[in-house]
Amino acid sequence: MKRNVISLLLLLLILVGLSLNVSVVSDPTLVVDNAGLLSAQEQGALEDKARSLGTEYGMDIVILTVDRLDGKRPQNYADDYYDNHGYGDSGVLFLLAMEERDWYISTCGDAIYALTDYGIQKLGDTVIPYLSDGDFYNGFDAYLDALPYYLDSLQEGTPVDGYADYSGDYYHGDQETIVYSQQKRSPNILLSLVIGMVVAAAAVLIMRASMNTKRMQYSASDYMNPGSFHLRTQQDIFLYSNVTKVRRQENNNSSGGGGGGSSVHTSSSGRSHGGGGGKF
Amino acid sequence: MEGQNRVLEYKCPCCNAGLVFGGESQLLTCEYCGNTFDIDAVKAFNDSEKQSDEEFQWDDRPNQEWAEEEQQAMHAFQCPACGGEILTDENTAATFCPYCDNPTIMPSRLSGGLKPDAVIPFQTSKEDAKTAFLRLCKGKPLLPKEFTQEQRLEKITGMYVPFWLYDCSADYNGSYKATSVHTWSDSQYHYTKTNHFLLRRGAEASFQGIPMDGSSKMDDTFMESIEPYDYGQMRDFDMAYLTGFLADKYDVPSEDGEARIRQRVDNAVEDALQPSLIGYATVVPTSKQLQIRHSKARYALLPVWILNTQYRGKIYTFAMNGQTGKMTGSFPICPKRTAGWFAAICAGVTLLSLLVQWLVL
Repeated sequence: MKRNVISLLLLLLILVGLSLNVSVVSDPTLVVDNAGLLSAQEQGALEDKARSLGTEYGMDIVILTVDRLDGKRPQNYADDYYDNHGYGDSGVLFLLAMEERDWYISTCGDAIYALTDYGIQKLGDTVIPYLSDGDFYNGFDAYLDALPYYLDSLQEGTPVDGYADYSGDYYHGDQETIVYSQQKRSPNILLSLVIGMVVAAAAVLIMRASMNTKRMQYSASDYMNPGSFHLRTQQDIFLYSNVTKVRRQENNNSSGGGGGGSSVHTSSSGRSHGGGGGKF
Repeated sequence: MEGQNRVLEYKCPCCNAGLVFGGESQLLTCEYCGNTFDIDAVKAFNDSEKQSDEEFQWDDRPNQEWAEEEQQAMHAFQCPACGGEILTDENTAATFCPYCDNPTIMPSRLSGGLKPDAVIPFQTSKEDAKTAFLRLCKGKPLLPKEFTQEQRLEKITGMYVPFWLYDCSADYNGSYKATSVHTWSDSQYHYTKTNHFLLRRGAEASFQGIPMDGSSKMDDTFMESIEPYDYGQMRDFDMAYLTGFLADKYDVPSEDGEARIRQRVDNAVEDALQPSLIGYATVVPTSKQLQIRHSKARYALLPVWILNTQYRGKIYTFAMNGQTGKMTGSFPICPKRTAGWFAAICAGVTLLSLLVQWLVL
């Protein structure tokens, strides 16, 4: 009897442990193909890729396809889906709506700084050709391949930024505010040391120079008779001229300071999101 | 031959001791009885005395003890005060008797073709030179501590240095290549237009009294570094100003200064031309021609204090303009203090830089 009770308790414990374990392991799915655009293998491949990327950068990288948006704006649909399905504080969701032919990227947390309005537009430019052709798998694959470039540049301190071109169908999410990535850099010891050495060398050289006041006079200006200097000839003859032209750089796409930053708004759940999208 | 080795001294009309020219008072001073005398008065007094003393004031004994070359360089004079033999090199024009310290002048080295046209009398005293030196030692962070603590000025010598003062007029012609740059933009391009010009400049100027030391003994750099002298206080030459100081006659002919004078005149004219070359982005000289005309050199004795001081077996020399008090020279540099200052400044600036980065970032 006693044995039975113990074995029963053990079984219960194992069951509870298993169920706990299962709930920990079962992260929300990252590639959600509600529109049925991908085969099972394709979905699995993308899921693996998205998960390993996400682990590397500490983000949830979500791809969501839907048949229609049910009258919602792409921004709200994407934000709400991300907020309501247990994804982490930091992440990016790619939404594809087949009926409206909308694509939209919603960002959250660190991803807001990594993907500026300009960056989202550039990402769209790499993906749209595939989507327009109906080659969805390669489109999403190219998207996942392109992401590390943007995430890395944030870690290096200068996110890919510039001024988005709104003349096409690109739009950014609601713009309650604009944020720029703050460069979190620790004081550079080597640079400080170099500055210190250069300043010290200059100071010591100046001190050394004051130790020897014995030097030749440069000119005889002290002995020129006042008013005796007379400029007899002064001819400025124009010879020729040449003109060079350089094309204007419209976008400065790598500097941290020069750029439009990321538009940020608050979603219905109260979380801050960035984002942007267009048609394909 | 008689006049050759005659020695001149100015005797005190009161006590007959040798007189010394005082820089501050601009009068002849007797260091023994303390009287001061006007130069003209003393000269008149000494001239009247001289007639009877004449045969005692020169010495024409042949110096058989000296070898032939040494005879060229060394000349013996007899001290009018103690009768001792004063040996000088061939350029000395005023000195002190090594036996009795009596100031003496060799008139033969300052007369005829060797007579200076002008002299600027000393305006500063030996004490001034000492004070100026100590002041110069202050505020020198790299100076070894012992230099100021232990050092004692070995020798302070007041000396009239022979100078050539050049007057000339310069005629300058130069050509330059110049460019000016304009930039503008339209919606597609940035444009840069570079205009190329040929500039011609001709100028003339006249100079007065560019000094060039005429003694091969003196370091030319030193003598230039204590310039300028104020020629407003220049006097017609009179031997009386020399008494109590050393003096040399020139041994470098005036023509030898030509190259240096030309260079200084060239730089002066080019400096004066600079304002007419403003407004261009680049100006590159291509050719120039400088003619110096109406050049003439006057021979003047200018006052210089020479200070010698010893530090760790090495002699450091300083020179002071005997008129304006401007002092120059080169000090020893303490390697320890240099390293210390470098380390201190380096550490301070590095920490400051870290702090600023900490606050800003």
